[in-house]
Amino acid sequence: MGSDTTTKLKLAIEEYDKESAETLAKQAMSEGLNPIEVINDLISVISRIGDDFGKGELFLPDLIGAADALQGAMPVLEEEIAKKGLKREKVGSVVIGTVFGDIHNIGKDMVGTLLMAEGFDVHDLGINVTADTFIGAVKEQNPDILAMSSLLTTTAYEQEKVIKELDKSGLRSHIKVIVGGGAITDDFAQKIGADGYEPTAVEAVKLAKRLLKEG
Amino acid sequence: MVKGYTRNFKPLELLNEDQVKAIWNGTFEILETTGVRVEHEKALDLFESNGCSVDTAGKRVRIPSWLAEQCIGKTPKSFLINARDPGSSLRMGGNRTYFGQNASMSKVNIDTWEVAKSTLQEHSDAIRVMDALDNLAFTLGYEYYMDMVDVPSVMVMAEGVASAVRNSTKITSAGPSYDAEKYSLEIAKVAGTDIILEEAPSPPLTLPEDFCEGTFSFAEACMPMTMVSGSVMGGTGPATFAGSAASNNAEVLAGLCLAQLIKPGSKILAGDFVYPMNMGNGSPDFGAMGVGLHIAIHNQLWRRYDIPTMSGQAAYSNSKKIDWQNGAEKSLMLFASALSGTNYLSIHGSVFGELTWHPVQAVVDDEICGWVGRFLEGIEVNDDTLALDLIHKVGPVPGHFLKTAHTRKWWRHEQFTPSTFDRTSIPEWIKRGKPDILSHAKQKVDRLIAEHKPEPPLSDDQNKEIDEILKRARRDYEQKGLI
Ligand code: B12
Repeated sequence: MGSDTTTKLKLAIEEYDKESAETLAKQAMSEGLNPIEVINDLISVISRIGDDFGKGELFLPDLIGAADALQGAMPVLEEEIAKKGLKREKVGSVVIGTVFGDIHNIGKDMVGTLLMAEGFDVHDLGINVTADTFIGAVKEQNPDILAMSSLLTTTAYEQEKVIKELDKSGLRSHIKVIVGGGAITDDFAQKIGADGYEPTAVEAVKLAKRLLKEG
Repeated sequence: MVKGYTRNFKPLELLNEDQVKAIWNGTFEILETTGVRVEHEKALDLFESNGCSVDTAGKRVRIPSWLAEQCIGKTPKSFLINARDPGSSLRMGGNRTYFGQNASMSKVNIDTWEVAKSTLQEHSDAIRVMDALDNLAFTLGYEYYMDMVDVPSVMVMAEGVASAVRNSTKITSAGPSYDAEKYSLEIAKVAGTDIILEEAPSPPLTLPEDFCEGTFSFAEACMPMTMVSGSVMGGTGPATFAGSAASNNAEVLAGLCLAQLIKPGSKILAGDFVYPMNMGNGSPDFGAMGVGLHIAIHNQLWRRYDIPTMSGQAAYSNSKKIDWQNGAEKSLMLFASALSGTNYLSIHGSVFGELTWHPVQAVVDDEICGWVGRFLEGIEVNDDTLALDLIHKVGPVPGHFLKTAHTRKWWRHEQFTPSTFDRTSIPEWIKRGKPDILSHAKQKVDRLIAEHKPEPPLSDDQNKEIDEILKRARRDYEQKGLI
């Protein structure tokens, strides 16, 4: 896409400028550009920033800033997709949250942001999320993946509780469950019957992709 | 006898008077304008009835400056924390610095450097080692081996405090979570000791429910509290030192106000636990230069009101091992913190940040404390120490001072002599099998675990009463489905 507006829009993301991203997205749509192509272009920018982050050349404020700027453009582009009745190939969808009793959110936000940067649809339930809320969101959103974070040993068992509830409501087989956060280990994840655990946000994204491929 | 060090020179100060005022004005503006979120009904009511503007639905409390200043005025500038053995009591405030145990989570294996869960026995053995260390003035009840194979996680705090009072006469601390602070208070009462509550507001600008509950319990029981809000610069606080100091102060001050409104005269330590964020992976940058800088600013700011300070993060390292990086980071930070006037300073035992811990590290750290503590005391200048008569008497070569009574009288007092740091000559060192600090420290730990006992021990009756409290706690948790 060689359009001038798309170039400017990509630049807005690179400059972490959320407001301009929104304005330019509206302009691009009024110029009749294809929203799906624009989204793909923007995601390629984020992926590049994600790669540079992985290499240690860019840092968290860059990554989070770019993902946030993308959120300026996304609603405009999504709305246009809906209006035109188009369908975008999505990488996958994720419901994420920090478990009940735990308010640590930095790590969870990083995982959410990186997933979003890689093209996942991410529904963030926030912190201190009860098992009921997790189950409700799974029913409502029907995501491919449920991601739970826990940094406290005292709350880690909440993850087990959610998995058991999924079992009871017959939802477990429809969804992949991934867990992480400082209080979680590989052994613990296996013991509670999660589908995967990783110790970093970068690895969490790889895990999510791997699980979706396995189906 | 527990040792505290008195600093006999001016503290390190980085800010000028205008900067101190600007940051405090900022803190008061934050409390008055944005205020804090308070997740506790009784606390909301108390703030409201004392003149704060309270939005109950949004749980937001705006504290007027006049009230904040009044609460500061009610906070003691110095206070005694009574241990069950009077020799282990702490006199908090002024120029005095106490060193003590640092927080962590899991045990680290010092041969493979792998992280492992500990046992309650290892927890207790570690406390006995802490009891024996010369420069360690306080232990941590629960916050170093929080991951135990044989203790359910909700019981870690209560079991930890019980283990601390049973295995040491030194002051220990408790945390507020699932009523653990209430069981801890009961245990301390049976043991006949004061106990400090480690209170952590949640940055940015929030006093969570557990925090408020704990503040009510401890203020009403007239027990001391540390207010430590652990923000991460660029994450849960601003990335700048001035901004993060202002917001951290607002969190600490909000907690302090709550305590003084519950009970005027509540004993508070204004804590610093702020780290820069490691922008590569989002975690706190434990050994960073910025931690030292933040602590120095914090100490100077609270000295304006003479409120005692604590640094929880004063001596952490990013290294996963007890190695060169670890020694450098911990020592530099401890030095910056002590020179700038921290009263209650945590260092002993943490290996990697607040995540791994080992008693061998605590023995090494104790040497650093001895070094820094002696430095803090500075020097005496009088006729005897200036020794002019002696210098005249000994005269030029071949005179020397080794055989003089003056040397015998003074050298120990003037120097700090470490017990495990290697100080041998090369031939001596080779003859002894080239030992290093770790092998010395390991031997010391093994010896202390085999031999050391706290003096005086708790009586059988006290031990039984504590057993009963633990049994009750376990039953309560079982009933709540937490075990
Ligand atoms: C910052 C912090 C806080 C802040 C949190 C602020 C916030 N908005 O998040 C505050 C001060 C509020 C806080 C409070 C408490 N904390 Co705290 N806190 C920390 C600290 C220092 C850093 C956590 C952090 O942000 N790490 C950086 C992020 C990036 O790492 P992360 O979350 O692990 O995430 C990474 C990976 O785990 C992974 N990941 C994360 N989520 C997921 C999810 C999935 C699905 C996957 C695959 C991967 C994944 O990706 C991330 C990026 O690579 C840790 C110590 C530490 N870990 O260094 C203690 C720590 C977690 N806290 C601890 C404690 C005890 C508490 C308190 C109880 C303290 C108290 N006495 O009040 C309260 C509890 C409050 C509550 N109810 O939750 C303990 C927990 C011990 C335990 N195991 O139980 C720790 C380990 C400190 C300690 N040694 O005492 N804390």
